[in-house]
Amino acid sequence: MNKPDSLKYAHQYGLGSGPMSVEPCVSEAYFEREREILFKHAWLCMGREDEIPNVGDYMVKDIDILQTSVIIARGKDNKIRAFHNICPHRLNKVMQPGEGNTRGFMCQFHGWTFDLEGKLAHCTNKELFNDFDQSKHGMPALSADLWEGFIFINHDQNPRDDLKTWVGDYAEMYAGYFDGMSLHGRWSVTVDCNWKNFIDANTEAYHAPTLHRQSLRDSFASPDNPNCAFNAVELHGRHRLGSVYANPGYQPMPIEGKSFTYAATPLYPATAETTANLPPGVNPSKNPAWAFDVSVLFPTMQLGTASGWYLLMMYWPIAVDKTLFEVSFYCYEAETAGDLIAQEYPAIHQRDVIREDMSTLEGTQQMIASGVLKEMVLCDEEITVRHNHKSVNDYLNENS
Amino acid sequence: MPQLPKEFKSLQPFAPEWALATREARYHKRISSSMEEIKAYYDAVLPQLDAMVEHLNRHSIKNLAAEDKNLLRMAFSAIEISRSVEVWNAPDNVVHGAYPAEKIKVHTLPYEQAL
Ligand code: FES
Ligand SMILES: [Fe+2]
Repeated sequence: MNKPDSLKYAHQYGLGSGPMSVEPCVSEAYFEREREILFKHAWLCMGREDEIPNVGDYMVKDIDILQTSVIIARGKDNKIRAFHNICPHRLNKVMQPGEGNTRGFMCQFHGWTFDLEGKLAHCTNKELFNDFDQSKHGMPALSADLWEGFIFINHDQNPRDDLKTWVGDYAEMYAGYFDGMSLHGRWSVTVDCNWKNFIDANTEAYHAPTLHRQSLRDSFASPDNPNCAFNAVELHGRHRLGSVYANPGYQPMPIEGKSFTYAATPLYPATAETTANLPPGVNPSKNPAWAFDVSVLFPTMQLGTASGWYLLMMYWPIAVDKTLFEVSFYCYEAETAGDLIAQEYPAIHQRDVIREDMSTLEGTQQMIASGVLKEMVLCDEEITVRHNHKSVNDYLNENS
Repeated sequence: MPQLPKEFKSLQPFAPEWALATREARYHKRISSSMEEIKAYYDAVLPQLDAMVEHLNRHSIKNLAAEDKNLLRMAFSAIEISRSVEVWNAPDNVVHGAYPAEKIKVHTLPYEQAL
């Protein structure tokens, strides 16, 4: 085994190798800049288009970082739109968070009703209002668009970049990968930590041999790769991915090993065959010794792409030291009960491994807030951490 | 009481506890169970698992009989508890202090109701 190159990614990507300030993880002022400059102009993923497949399907979500509540609805023209969940009469919140199907949205206060495009369809006793132009009183729109079946919204009605520009290289990298997979699990939690630290913990693999030494045993490290070095790292503008190694010699445990064999079409763990046809962004090195990728579409959409399933992980900042984390598991439609049982394993296993990743977050946040140390020290493999913080900082500086 | 197909009589005593309809319920069952309860179920279900899958695969998952649905849920529970026995030797991963289990909200999704 050769000595690892401690400047490999530093040279490849030119992001340096020095320590980084942790001030952006505890500064209220920085958080407000993130809100106003970044999040209120960013394209944010809200889920999959097929979660609201029919005309009239909608979802309602409170978004703390945008200081608003949003309705996303599929209109009669099949188009997906987003609007603020606000009634223009006395500014009541129209819908409660959740999802459903409807012909329109009625405000419970005085009965104003809005159609699926957010337009005011009915105003109770309109003649009571002086000089009233009904067309001027719809629910205010946000921008909405789709990429690879994912719904994105932008608080900015005239976004700095359209979604295609925002997605950049990622546009082609995942072509078709998500097709045919559907929602098969979801969990969520609110953690007392900064959103950037949260992403960091879930997007480097240097921690795996230590933090996961019991749970993942030797599945993520081997004599060939004792540090669980990434198979590949790719930086694409502000987006980034690391492709996580898996030990091909790993001997699964009894139920784990059985579960793999129950799938009618075995997809996981990955093999040379199942990886060969993946699009360029998924397992970019096409190395069969592969677990999954940790990929972040700037700023807060994480894709955990694997063979036969993927995770969508969304980070919703609430405060500088509080983040809502939502994890959804997607996989192919099961044809047999064996498929369902095989799919159950990664759905549960990933949840419990990510709970380990989360175990350090609040302690890290607490000690950053102590102010005792002002910088973190990063190794070359932690380029994903470096790139996360740098991308945010660059965006704020370039747009203020 | 949830009934299992008669071929799986040996698992019937475990059905009230483990034939749970949602992943949310199975998760809460695991984290609120003792290691003795988990190990007893694990030891009973492991040798049956292949036969359970074989039995279930003979039916379309679109319209499983009630007792087959229960059997499928028993298999899901086997997955849920497997790492308690095979890795942690505890209902939950306590060694590295995984983020507290009870703070996690496991959502119940429409596809589960359809099963
Ligand atoms: S506030 Fe909505 S109808 Fe009056
Ligand atoms: Fe991890």
